[in-house]
Amino acid sequence: MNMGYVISVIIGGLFLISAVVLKNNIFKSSHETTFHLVTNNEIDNIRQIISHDMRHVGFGRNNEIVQFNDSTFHFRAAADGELRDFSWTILPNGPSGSNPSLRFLERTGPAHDGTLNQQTYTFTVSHFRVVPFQDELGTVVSTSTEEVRSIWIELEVMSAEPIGTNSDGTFQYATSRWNKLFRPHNLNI
Amino acid sequence: MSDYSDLIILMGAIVIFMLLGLQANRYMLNNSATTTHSEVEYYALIVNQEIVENIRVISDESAFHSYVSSFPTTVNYQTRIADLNFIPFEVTVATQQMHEAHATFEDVSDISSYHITVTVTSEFLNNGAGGSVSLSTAKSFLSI
Repeated sequence: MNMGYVISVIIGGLFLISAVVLKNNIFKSSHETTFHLVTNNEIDNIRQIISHDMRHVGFGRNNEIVQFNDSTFHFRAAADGELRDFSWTILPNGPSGSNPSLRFLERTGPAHDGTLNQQTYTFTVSHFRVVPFQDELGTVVSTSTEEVRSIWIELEVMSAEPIGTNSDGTFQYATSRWNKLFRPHNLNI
Repeated sequence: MSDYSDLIILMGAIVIFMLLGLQANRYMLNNSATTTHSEVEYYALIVNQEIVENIRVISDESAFHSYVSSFPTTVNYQTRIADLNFIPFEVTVATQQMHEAHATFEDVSDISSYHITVTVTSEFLNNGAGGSVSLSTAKSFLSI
């Protein structure tokens, strides 16, 4: 066999392998960037809706915090001139996908779609927790719906598909977290 | 390989290919660096806003001074619920008593106003060169 031919095939093969590896890396990088962007956008959208709802807590006549526990926060307050229900609930089930941490987060409340009817929206999150406190600085956890002065909300959103693998073999997901201690003015007058 | 010209062309091709590869890798590295830095900036703002909000709800001047004296401190912001990943932020709070603000009041002896600047510093900010995020607020106390 011609030696020059063999060397050419070897070099060509090496080129091909490095081209494939490079292309794979570019795909992976763009996949990762896209998932990070999507996750960040998603948490930002949910954050805006939560902030919008929290401004209503304690507003209007006969307003009340109806119920809260680890998975639900439900209150009634005046919005657009009427007493309306707002509720945020994290469900035990999630979408069928490769990320087992995902859960459905349901928000029921008035929607500014022209009708102001109660509507339920479902988001996909990996963590949602509400802790009501008796004081403005968020130090004493409240056990009664009457005593709530501030509300701590934790939210975490993960990508539905993995963006890589950790050193221990588990999947790595694009993750974004947000938390805030809300101090609704109407609860602190 | 009949003569050296083939070899030279081959080496040239290898060099061009490697340069292209390097460039692509540089872009990818830039992408992930930008993602990481914007994430750190986002968390630094969350930490900063939280402290500003804490200061805003304090109603007593002595409580305000004792809160401010707990700084500088390091806040370890947990970025994921499931594991213990966190980003350390150095937080400093600078207060400055405002005198000029009093000029608008007739009797100002019982009002003390402060200009408060909360600065969150991290070595991961500003594209890895280290930087800080600052937010300011004002606070007045009436001592009767």
